[in-house]
Amino acid sequence: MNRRSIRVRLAAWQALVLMATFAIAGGGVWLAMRDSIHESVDEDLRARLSLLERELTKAMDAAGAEHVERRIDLVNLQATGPGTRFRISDGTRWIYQSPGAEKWGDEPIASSSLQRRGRARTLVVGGRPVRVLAATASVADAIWVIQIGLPIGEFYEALAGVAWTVVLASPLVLLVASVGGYWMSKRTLEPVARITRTARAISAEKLAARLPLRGADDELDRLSETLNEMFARLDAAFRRVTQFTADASHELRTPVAIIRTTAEVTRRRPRTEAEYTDALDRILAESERTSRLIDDLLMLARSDAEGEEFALEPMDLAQSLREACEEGCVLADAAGLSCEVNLKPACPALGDPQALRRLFLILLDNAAKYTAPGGTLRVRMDVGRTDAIIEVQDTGMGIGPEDLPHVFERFYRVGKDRSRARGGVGLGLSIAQRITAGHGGDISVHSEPGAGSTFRVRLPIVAPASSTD
Amino acid sequence: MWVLVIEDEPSMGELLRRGLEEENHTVTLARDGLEGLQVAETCNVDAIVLDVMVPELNGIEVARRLRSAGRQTPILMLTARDAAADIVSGLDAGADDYLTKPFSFRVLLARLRALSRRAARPAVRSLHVANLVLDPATHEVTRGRSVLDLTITEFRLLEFLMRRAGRACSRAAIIDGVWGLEQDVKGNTVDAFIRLLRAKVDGAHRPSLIQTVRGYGYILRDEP
Repeated sequence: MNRRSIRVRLAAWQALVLMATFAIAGGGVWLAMRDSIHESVDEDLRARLSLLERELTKAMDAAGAEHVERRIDLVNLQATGPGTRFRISDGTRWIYQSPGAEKWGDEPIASSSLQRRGRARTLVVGGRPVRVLAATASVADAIWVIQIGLPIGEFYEALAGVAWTVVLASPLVLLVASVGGYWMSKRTLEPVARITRTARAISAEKLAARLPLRGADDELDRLSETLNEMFARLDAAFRRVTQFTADASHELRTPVAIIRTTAEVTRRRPRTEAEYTDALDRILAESERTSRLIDDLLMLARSDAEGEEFALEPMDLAQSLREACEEGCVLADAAGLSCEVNLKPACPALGDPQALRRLFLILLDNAAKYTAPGGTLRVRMDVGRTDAIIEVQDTGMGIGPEDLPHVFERFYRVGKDRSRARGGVGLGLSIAQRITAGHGGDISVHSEPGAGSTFRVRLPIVAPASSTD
Repeated sequence: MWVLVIEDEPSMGELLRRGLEEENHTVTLARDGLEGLQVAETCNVDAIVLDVMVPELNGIEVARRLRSAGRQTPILMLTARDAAADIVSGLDAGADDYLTKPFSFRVLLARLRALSRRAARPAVRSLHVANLVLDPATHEVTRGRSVLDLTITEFRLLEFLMRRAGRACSRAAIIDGVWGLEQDVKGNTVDAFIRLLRAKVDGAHRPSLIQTVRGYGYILRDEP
């Protein structure tokens, strides 16, 4: 029902508007007809009045003004035509009234109250409409007011006939308007219903489906386009979440599987102490890896949920980087790499020292992991007016152009075979990117396969740092 | 039996090897899909434990290629993803069963036994040749009414021959299937173990089941 309500309301409104139009048009026609009847009757009355005026003048010329009552009979009353009644007033009393005219009201009309063309009114006398025109007439030397009237019952009957036609036709018009309105709104809403059906069919199972465009570039096509764009965004988000969940579950299940199977296989029979120690060591290592992974996942999940989870405080960016480099260079030494570090003495900034240290360590650790012994690891810091640029450069294997756009994606590993042996699950750079973004900076990478990679971090700083140079 | 484990995760691979070997199975470990496929195609292994996410050639592709090459070796698929789509595509590609990591090792052993049982037609719990019976689950071997006491290697050797009863096995295939691909074992070691096994299996019983195929290897069958 709810789905139909727009259609019904639309039909009702259309019917209402159509009925109103019909009523206004009918009323207008009726009024116009009445006015035109009045006008032609008035014209007729005026013609009869001037005829009467001429006849009266003729009679008065012969008899003199003081004998009007007597002379009036001399007037050719038939000259005014059949059905005509009239009465004559001298301003104070009625001089003459033809039979029936006395019912038009008693007050003689003063000539001063009349305009030149006279005044026409419709009176109802004995239940019958009479059109009465009052006008001045100069007969002999006197100014008289003559009222002349004609019954117009026939005309009004015709008018009533029109009114009845309009009233009787209105149910039919209402019916046609309703049915037509319903049909039209159905026709109008049909594409909407189609869009609704299609959109409902596009569920989570098949988010890749799209609404068809009719190519009309109208409101409905734009609605479909808007919905399609929304579906595309949903689809992408859904895929990302599915992929992330699948990757996360794989990465979490693998160490747990090792822990469980280690324990189970070890328990199957008595072991030597060395074997137990070995199994426990393996379990310990996998537990540590699992908890690191959980920490990473939680951090990413939290920053997804809240957007901002870093406690920014005034700190020294150079100090953070220096600490990270000390640790990083130990790793580099162990990997047989030489370390070149070029830092600034101090660089005040707003940041989370632990998070930033982690960010730098991720970059240094990556550089050390993917560079062959004998290579070089370079860390450089540049401080501008508003930003600090930190570059971590290695002479390692580099990243291929097909991998480069994805290195910051979660669980993305360059070369599927090498990462787990090196301890990575492909979250480090995602976290690095999160930390940078959380500090209002950005991170980018430039790489040539075989020549090495350079990660470049831009972070905002507090004061213009030219004084520290 | 001879189990091929295709698993790239080194700790998991070693664990499976040790656990399975302790259950008297011979284990060959492959580190990636391609290597695994080669072993599966060239060696007559009894079962394959196949991780889905292995490099070079993923597990689903390994299963598909093996099946399209006509190999009916039972495949137990291991997956760390429990997405239904992965399981469906794995089974459709030709895997016979699957386990989601983390799994129970006992269940893994039971499923392997079930798979090898199903591979034998008709499905039997134990291997029979004449009145010689070998139960892979209990490691019990009987000939007639007497229980045979076999060493681990003798047991594997006998299981290998019984699983291929009626077919001649070359010395090289026996070495691979009983000692594993990594071991450096000579043909006369096989002969030595066959002599020991014969003494226990056929020593007091007739007919002799373990027969020599001159210049090639051995065959276990219930006819002279």
